[in-house]
Parts: sequence; C-alpha cells; structure tokens
Amino acid sequence: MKFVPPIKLAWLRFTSCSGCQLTLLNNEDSLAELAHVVELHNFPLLSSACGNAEALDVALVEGSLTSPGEVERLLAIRRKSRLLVAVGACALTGGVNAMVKGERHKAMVSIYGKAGAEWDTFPPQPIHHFVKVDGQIPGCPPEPHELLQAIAAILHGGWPSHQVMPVCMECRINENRCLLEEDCAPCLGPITQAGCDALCPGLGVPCEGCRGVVPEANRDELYRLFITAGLSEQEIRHRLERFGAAL
Amino acid sequence: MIFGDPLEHTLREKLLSSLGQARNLWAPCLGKDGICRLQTIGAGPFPALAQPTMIPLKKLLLPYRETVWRYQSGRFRAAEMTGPFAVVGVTLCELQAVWYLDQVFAADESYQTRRANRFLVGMPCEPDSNCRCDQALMPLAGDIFIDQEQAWALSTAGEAVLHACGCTSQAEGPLPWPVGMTAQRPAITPEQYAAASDAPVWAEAASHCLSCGACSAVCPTCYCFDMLDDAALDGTVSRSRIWDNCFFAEHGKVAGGYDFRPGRAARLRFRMEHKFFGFGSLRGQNSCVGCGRCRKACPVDIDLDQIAARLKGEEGS
Amino acid sequence: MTCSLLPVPAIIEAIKPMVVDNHLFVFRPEQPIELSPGQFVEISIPGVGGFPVSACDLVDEELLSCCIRRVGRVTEALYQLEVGDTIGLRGPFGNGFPLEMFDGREALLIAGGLGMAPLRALLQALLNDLHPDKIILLYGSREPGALLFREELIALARRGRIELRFSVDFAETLPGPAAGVFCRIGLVNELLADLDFNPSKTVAAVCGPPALYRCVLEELAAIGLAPATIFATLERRMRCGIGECCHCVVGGRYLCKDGPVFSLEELRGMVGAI
Repeated sequence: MKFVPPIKLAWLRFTSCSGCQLTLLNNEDSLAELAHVVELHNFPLLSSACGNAEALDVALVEGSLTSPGEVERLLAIRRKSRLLVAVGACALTGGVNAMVKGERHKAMVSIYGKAGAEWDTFPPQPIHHFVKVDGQIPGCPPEPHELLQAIAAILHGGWPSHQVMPVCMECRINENRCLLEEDCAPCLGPITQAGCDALCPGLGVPCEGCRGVVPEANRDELYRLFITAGLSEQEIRHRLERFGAAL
Repeated sequence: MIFGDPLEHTLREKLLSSLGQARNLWAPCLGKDGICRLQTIGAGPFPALAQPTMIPLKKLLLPYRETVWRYQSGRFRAAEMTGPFAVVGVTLCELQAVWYLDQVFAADESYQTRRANRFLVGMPCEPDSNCRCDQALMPLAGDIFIDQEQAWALSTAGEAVLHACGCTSQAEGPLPWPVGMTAQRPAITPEQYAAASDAPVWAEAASHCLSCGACSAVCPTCYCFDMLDDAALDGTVSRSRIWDNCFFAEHGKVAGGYDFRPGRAARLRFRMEHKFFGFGSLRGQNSCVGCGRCRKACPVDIDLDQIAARLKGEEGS
Repeated sequence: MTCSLLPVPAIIEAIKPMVVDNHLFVFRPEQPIELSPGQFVEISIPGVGGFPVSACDLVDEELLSCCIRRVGRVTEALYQLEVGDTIGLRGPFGNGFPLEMFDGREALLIAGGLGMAPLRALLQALLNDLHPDKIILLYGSREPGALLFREELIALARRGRIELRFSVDFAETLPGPAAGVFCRIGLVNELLADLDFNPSKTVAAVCGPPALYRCVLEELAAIGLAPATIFATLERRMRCGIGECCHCVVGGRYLCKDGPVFSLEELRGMVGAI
C-alpha cells in the first residue's frame, strides 16, 4: 500500500495497561522525526481528544476485547483504516488478561460489587477473533524500535521482515549464560519468538514468553525438561498460560 | 617459515604494542559468569592461553548482523567496513575453522575485505572432555602462533610482524596440537549417511531437539545467513546480512509456504550433512573442527558425533 | 572475482496485469543485466526485502520482464509500487537452460502454472536464435483464465511455429478446437499421450510446482528421452544467489550456483531435490 507522508495514524486502546503506548513514547530521540511523517488522530496516553477522521491510513490497536461495546469500536475502526496493526501481547493473544479463569459472573461481582453483575462482558479475546489484522507487533510490551520500524516499513509500502526464531538464538548471539542449561530455570526461551534481544535472560530472568510461541515449538520436550527440573505440572501450565503458550 | 628465537616476555609485549598500534585488539576473556567471550582488550594483558569463546571468531569475520548496503532516494551504497583488527589467543581448531570460512567466502567481497583487515595469533589451549580436534582435518588460517618460548609465522604478514618485533631465527618442530583428541571422532561416510536416512535415531533426536539453534549459532564453521531490511523514518533503508539457522521453521520454505525440509529430523540431517560432508565446492570436506561447542550448548544433549556413531552401528540392521 | 550483495537500481517501466495475482513487471536496470533463459535475479524492495525471480522476456537487453505472483510479504509490497518507482536488482545468477543442446533437435517444453514464465524466455530463444526441428509446448494450469501468455501462445500455434496443448484442472467451458486450441481437463503429463515426436531426438525443459516434477520427469524417461536430455528448473528460497547462504542446498549442491536447471540424470543423484 503506497502511503504519502504524513500518514493518518490512530492508536486504539482496549483492555490493556497502556504500556504499549508508553513504549512508542519511549523513542524520545525519534519523536520529532515521527511527528513529520505521522498525523496523529488518536492517542489516549497523550491526549483525551478523540480524533474523528473519516478515514485512517494506519490503526495501531492495543489490548484485548472484553465487551460487545469494544467489538463495535474495533469494527468501526477497521472499516475506516487501510491497515490495522495489532500491538502487544493483549491484542495478539489476549495477553495476561486471558489468564482469568473460573466463573465470570462471580469474578465480576467479587471485584466490582453488585454493579458488576449487570455489565455485559466476555472472556478476553485477541483482536483477530473479530477483524482482519494486517500486521502484528508482539511483546509485553514490544521493543520501542519495533514500533518505529513498523511505521517506517509501512511508509515504504511494506511490513518489516523479522526472523522467525526462538529467544535462545538471541541469547547465544549475546553470549548470555543459559538459564535453562546452567540453572535448570523454567525459561520459555526455546519456544518463544525472538525480537527482544533476549532482554530478560540477559538480565538473569527466565523468559516469560511474552512475544508468543514460535512456529513448530517443541512444547513436549520443554515440558519434559521442566518436569526433570522439578516443576509440577500445575506450575508448568501456569507458566505457559501466562502469555497463552499452553495448547 | 618458522621462527624459533626464544620468545622473551618482552617480545609478547612488543607483539602486543606492535599489533595494537594500528589495530583493535581482541582476546578471549573469561567473565564472572563463567562464560568466555571474545572482547576488545585495549592495551592488554596478553592472554595466558588460547580459550574457546562461546561465540567463535565468526563473531568478527562474519558478524551476526552486518550492514551490506544503505538505500536513500533511489541509490544503493555499499556499507563502510570496520578497520584492521587482531585477535590474540586463538585455538588451533579455530584457526582451521577460519580456513574453512575463508574457502566458503572466497568470492565474497565484504568477507574478503574483512579478511584483509584481520591478524590472527594462535596459542596453545587446554583441551577439555568435549574436545575432538584433528590436526589432519584441514589447513590452518592465521598469521602467528606463539607458544611460550617459540613463535611460528603462519603467513607473510605474520612473518613481517615477527621481524618487526625482532624475532628472526627459525624454530623447530610442529605446532603443539593436543594429542589423543581424535579417538571419538566417528568417520561416517556419505554412503553410510545416505543409507541410514530412516534410522530411528533421527526421529529420536528430533523428538528432543528444541530447534533453539544454539548448536549452529556457536559452531565456528556454520555460516547460513539471511537478509533483513531496516527502514528508518527519514526514508533511508539499510539491509543487513544476519545469521540464519537451519533449525528455524522458515529455512527451507519458499514464498507461499511450501517447506522443502519439513520437520526437525530433516533439519538435523541437513546439519549433519553440512557439517560432515560440506556443500558446493567444499563437498567432501568435513568441517567439524571438534571444538565441542555444540555439545556444550545443546540444552537437550544432542551430539552429532553420537548420532553418527549410532548410524554406523545401525547400518544394515 | 568477488561478488557483492549490492544491487543495481532499476526503474519499474511497466506493470501489466496478466492473470489474477500475476502481473508482468518490466524493469529498466541502470546497467543492463544479461540474463539467459532459466537464470534468475534477486529483486530488492528497499525497506521490505527481496526474492529471486527468473525472467520471462529477454528480447530487449535493456529491460528485464518478470512475471511475478502476489504470494508473500515482499511480492505484496511490489504490487503496491507504481511505474517510475525504484527497486534493486542483483544478478544474473544460476546456470540457465543448456541452449546449445536444443539445436537441431526437437524441443519439448512442459510448464505448470507460473512455471510458464521462465519457459517463455526459453521459448523466445528457441524461436529467435536456435534451430530446433520442432517445438512442442504442454502447459497445464488451474483453469483457462490462469494460463499465462495464452493469446500469444495460441497465435504462435496458429502460425505453426509451435505445437501447443493446454490442460486445466477445471473449467466451465474449454477453449475448443474451433478456436484452434487443444485444451483438456486433466494433468499436464496426460498431454504426453498421442504426441507426435521422436523421444530419442528430443530435449525436454520442465518448469512447475514440485508435484509436476514428481510425475513428469521419470515419465519422460520412460517414454524414451535420455535422462541427460530432460531438464527441470527447481525452486528454492535463494537468498544470496552466490552459493553462500545455504537455503537452497540440495544434495550438497547450491541450486543458486550449480542450478537451478538440472538434468534428470543429475537429479536422480540429489536426494530430496524433487
């Protein structure tokens, strides 16, 4: 899709923490440059003003969907956007929101009181359950540069290329100590899509899998390794479920 | 030519300062976390021994991410290259690996530019239980080899540097290769490999393999690469050559999704074929220098040598 | 001689829709790239990526015409470009078809789907520069509307320059003999039956999806063509084109350098090639 800058861009937030928006703003050195190529129509973390552009070039969507009202808003934005991009784990897979289990009605009442019983909600869903998604930027949150790269690639008429590979590869490239091998730590690096530069394992924190599961992941073997390392089945399941890596 | 003037302590220092004048100096450095990495050492000190680093010398010769061109307003420009550098404390097996990479990239412009910029100093190592080096496997690259009192010139550039350091007379004897390392090397033939394509050991290894890519990332003779573009907001683009890995799901896929090497077993076989039998003009050259990095790095203890031994055993059964 | 990964800028001179999701792109490289039928170039779309493609028209040396299917992220981006936009080209890569072998013999071309593109460049060379005794083209596609260069090929057949047979997987209506077209529903290898040619004097060139190679190559050998005279051009994920990156390796050989055109004789020794 050919775009002539400035591209009309809106950021939509659904059920999420706004961390993905903050990540874009963390590109302090590039914000002035960004302002030249982007015409911002909606960005909740920056301004409460809601854009009402009739047509958008790019919609960046953050968060999972939990109510019919959100679905309506999403459909409306899809209709007027040339490209719709899912940003962050919540939009891609439901994220940590999707961990919620058990009876929804009870949970609503226990958290919001009686009023909660009246609200029409459903278990958190990724946005691709409702609309066509043209691009995905994974992570909780994504890496700051990924957002800029995506916008820059869109300006070139495409979508950025990335290597389909697990976090382990980035750990080896960075010559990190292997937490799985050395500490028998429950690191999800082997099944998690790379792109974060192995940030957590590089700091000694086992990978949580926030960037989603790599294609053809060998969950069985990782499960076996975790059991051997002394984790219980429940612990493993909880770990995999945090970012939707359980089958 | 071999030089054999007793290498005085001061000669090491001379060598270091001679190389350090015009070159970035690199050497294996053991970190507090127990990981040995190739790092810049500034003015020293000279390492006591050669040590295998987690990521081998390809870190400098074929960097993980190397910009090959930049694009702006309809023009493609070649990327600028790094300047001269020297690596001290390289193991013998790794000098073989560099020779191998030199052959693979014999016609590659940016590799050869970097090759012309490099200076490699080999040193003796202390082999461990993972080591299976083989002196007869292939020739060595490199410029100088030094061992306590002795120095060998491995190239004309090495000869010149030794001369400049005042080391002029010949040394006797062969390079100090570790002995008894080759016993566990299974010499599998291409025919044995081909005949055992359905051997159960493949499915067994494949069931464990995590496709993490560690084995080829740390391998001194693995060199698969991909090309990736980075676009910037100002409209410029840089294309990088970036390490790829035959264990990754996209490696054998073409546009449209057809996979010519589907499944982990096929990818394990591909890696063994590449390692032991070579590709293209290097067909027939075993490129496993026996450094043992892959054995150490594999989280599920897959060992190509063990698989090869099993294949030989299973042949005909 | 050393190879660089630096492309030559090329301007998109024309974009002609051929069939659905299949445009003909005509590029004008800053410096002409001399390509022989079956060889390929690497196209770079700055900021998006690159892919290998063969040429389907080599008549004008200043231009490069490629039939490109919209099938992935990078071709999708190419489809968004317009006439006058700049891309990058590297090449030529690969061996191409052994043109001299067709001289004075009968040429049998078998194409499946987009495989017609490189064979069209070969066909041009056969018609213009070489002197085969006879040219037979068997071309299979999904449906009549997906046949590339259909009108041009029919015109060549009408003028008696080539013997042409189409096959399609399905069709509402077939272009019939009344239109001077031989077309039947079925697989392209079924077109080999009742063909009037001399197998021992024939050189075959085949290009199509993997399934086509699996059935047709050995079938040609079975009807009497020598395995050394049956050629197929293979598709793989060629990233560098210069025998380094390892994506295209089959049986220890770099397809981008030793191929992509191989004889059946060679292919029999390359496990996993087809």
